[in-house]
Amino acid sequence: MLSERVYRALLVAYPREFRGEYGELMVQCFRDRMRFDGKGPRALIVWMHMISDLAISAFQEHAGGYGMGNTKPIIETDALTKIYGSIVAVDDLSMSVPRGHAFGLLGPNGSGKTTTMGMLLGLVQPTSGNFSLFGSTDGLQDSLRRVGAIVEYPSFYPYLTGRENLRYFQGIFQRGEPEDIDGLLEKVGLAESGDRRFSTYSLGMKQRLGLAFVLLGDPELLLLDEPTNGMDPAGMAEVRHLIRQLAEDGRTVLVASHLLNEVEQMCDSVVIMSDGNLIAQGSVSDILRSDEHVRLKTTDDEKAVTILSALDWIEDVRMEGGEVVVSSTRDELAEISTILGRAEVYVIETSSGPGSLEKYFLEITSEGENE
Amino acid sequence: MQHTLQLTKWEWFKVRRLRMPWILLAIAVLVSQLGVWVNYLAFHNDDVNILMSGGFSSYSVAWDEPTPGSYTITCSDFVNDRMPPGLDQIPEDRRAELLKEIDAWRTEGVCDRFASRTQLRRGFTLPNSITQSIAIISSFRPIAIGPILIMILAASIVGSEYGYGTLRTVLAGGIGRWKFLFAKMLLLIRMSSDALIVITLVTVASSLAIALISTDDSGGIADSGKWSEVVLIFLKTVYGLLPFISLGVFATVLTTSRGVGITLSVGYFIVESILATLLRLNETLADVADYLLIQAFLSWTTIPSELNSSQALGVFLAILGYTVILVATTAWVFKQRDIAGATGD
Repeated sequence: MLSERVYRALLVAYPREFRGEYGELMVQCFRDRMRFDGKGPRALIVWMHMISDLAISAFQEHAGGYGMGNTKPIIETDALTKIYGSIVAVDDLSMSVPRGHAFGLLGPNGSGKTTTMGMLLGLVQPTSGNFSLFGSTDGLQDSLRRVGAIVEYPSFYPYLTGRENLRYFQGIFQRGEPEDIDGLLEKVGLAESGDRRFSTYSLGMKQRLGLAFVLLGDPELLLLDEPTNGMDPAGMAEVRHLIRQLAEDGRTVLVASHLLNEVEQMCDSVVIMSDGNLIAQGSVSDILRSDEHVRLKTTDDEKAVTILSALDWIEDVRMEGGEVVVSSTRDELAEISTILGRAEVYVIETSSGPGSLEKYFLEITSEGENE
Repeated sequence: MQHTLQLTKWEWFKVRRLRMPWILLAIAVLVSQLGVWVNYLAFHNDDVNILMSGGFSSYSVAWDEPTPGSYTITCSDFVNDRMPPGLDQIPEDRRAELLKEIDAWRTEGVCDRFASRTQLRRGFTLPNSITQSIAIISSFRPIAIGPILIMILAASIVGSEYGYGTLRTVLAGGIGRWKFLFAKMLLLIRMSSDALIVITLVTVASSLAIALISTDDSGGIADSGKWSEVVLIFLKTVYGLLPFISLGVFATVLTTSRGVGITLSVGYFIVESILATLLRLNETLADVADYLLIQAFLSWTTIPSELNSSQALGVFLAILGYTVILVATTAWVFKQRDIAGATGD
């Protein structure tokens, strides 16, 4: 069917937005709303235009609640600043979080991640600056009804059971149905301990309950602050997988963490913060690519460094551990080898590796400190 | 408004699992029943036979002219300030003799014991036992235990949200700050009404129990006071507690701590008592003392009322004013503040 062709085309253009159940919903919308009777090429063009319009309107109507197909960032901050007395907790933060992504807010303790989240959730009054949720700068409370959030650590009523806590929050937030709770407890691995008091939970179990809590009513946007804090390695892996899965299902997940590998594993994009300042922002792959390097052992390492340093397309060349480390991709290795060969410096051994977010993070945060 | 009522319902779902409200209710019920049972025991342990044998004073006069007749007045008549019918038929000299005797009773306090026994009896027979039980909770001097208990409860319910850090969890979900606070206040009003209903029911049970176990005339079920007074003291007490609920919430929001909130609001009692005493030393300022929060509450909830209608209106407005000012200030402070994590208090 044509609708399915259009769907496939859209899937190629917007792989994330048109994946899974929402993609299927798209197809269903087309099937319900249009009939293509094949009256020649002109009719085809006319129908194609109609299909495009219908696709947009039908999709917005049916999946509009999820904000799918909307390319505006789900979170946008503009010069957001928070000052406590003489301490600048967040300084002039401007960032945007795209829809349907797992987005990392990375920074060491005290870098302003939690304060930023607090401002986005209306818990902390910004000193200056603005922000928008779902493209709206006002009606924060209405926007927050579409958000599931845990700030700093999961805070629940210790005298209630895990199940009762979820039931209470479900009741006050008016999100979902009571029968959803069993499924949520199951999903986060608390099916067996849902009837235990929260005060008896380990930190890891509290984190799991926090995850079940943020999923109440299946919100579009999740804000998670250090979601794996206190978990054992298996639990951490499980939660990271779950968060990844949530993002792949079309939700936007903003994860604040000081754990570099965690953000690297879970997130598509990242904002790096240090001392309340935004240090870097971009997709994780871009950031990693920027730190990609090859390591060479040559017949004359010093000469190799001199030759490669003269090339304007190579950003950084240095000696490290008896090797020449060149900021370059593996694809450029042949060209590097040729250039060195012309100068009678021969490559004996090569290795390459992707950049590590950790290394990048340490470099840029120390740069900030040095300044 | 509907969502606020929903919030109140869910607040109750949560609060009923706490021990604190039940402990405070138990204290309130125990204190209120102390009045009923202490009255009964005092009455019963007194020499019941005095009453049975007519041991209390009565005075009779008799005459033959123009027609034979007699007239008797008892302590009951005296205490209730009534003269039995037939006073006008008494010959002049005998009437003077009777009035002289009554004057002597007054001077010598002959019927005081009877009056005190009547008062004791009113304390455990319906419906006055209910009025008295509620009055003990609200306006028993010098400590108004009702306001203290409701302030402790208010500070606990609001302060626990700061202590557990759950305020952040709630507000981050899109619940308006004012709405959340208002739901808490509505719950506290409901809980104070419920507590008074429980006190009423327990008092009814106590009075019935006394009626069952009494072997003498002390256990009448419903023969003292008026039911309208029960309704009046109930409504007046609930209204009078509003500023104390507001004060407890205000102190807690201001300090973001349950413990400090309780200390501050209860400490206000002591400060106000001292202030009222000082103000009463000055003739001009003595009237101001009557409109201080606790003084206003005590005079408002005293049954039968000692206030004339203009004083009652003044006290009513004073209570309303305290409530409005405290609620408005609380809302403003709560709106301005950043919400931090668990304080552990």
